[in-house]
Amino acid sequence: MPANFQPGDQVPDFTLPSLDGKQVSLSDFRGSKVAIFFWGSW
Amino acid sequence: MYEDLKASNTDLLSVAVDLQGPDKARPYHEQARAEFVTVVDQANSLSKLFGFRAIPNGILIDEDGVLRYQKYGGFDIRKPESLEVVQQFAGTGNAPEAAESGGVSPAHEHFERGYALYKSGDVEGAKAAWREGVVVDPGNWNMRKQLWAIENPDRFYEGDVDYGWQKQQIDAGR
Repeated sequence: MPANFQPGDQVPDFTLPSLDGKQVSLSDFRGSKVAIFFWGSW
Repeated sequence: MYEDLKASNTDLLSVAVDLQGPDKARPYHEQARAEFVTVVDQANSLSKLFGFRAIPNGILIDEDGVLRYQKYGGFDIRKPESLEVVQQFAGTGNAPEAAESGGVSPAHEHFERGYALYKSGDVEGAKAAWREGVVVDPGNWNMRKQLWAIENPDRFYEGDVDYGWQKQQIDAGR
């Protein structure tokens, strides 16, 4: 099964709440490189 | 620890995949004395957006919002081999080819149905929906393990996560 995007694709914006209650969007990082890492407490 | 990344115009964004919300994620963030922002994806929405069924994952995006790298499963920023990928990207803008092994779970709708029930307070209904989903897609570890965590909080939230117990669940086909 392929993932939804491939290298070279524009990533659509998304917004999620931070632990301190702020809304954080991917677009907030525009102009910087960003490394996103996913983890779980489980 | 991550100052060199900031100096290379690279930010870290930590995403806690946790349907139970920030209270479960916060201790881990604080334990890491985290120098980065952690957001909480309760609805597991990015599993659907990017197409993945398990964690830990890493995604690298450039200054223009373009995907440069994705690795689903086995990417852990605390491990040298994962950190090295990020450091290389920060320094050069280049990332290695990665086997992505992604894909939206065929049981994602089970997750969403269960999550809606969970949010409405129907925890038993939620668990039933997720159990059905695990049968449809046993490889949806995000759903499977979050279900375990709700059913067996003592194995997850009293001291360290009990990975020996998790292995027993897998061996027993739960």
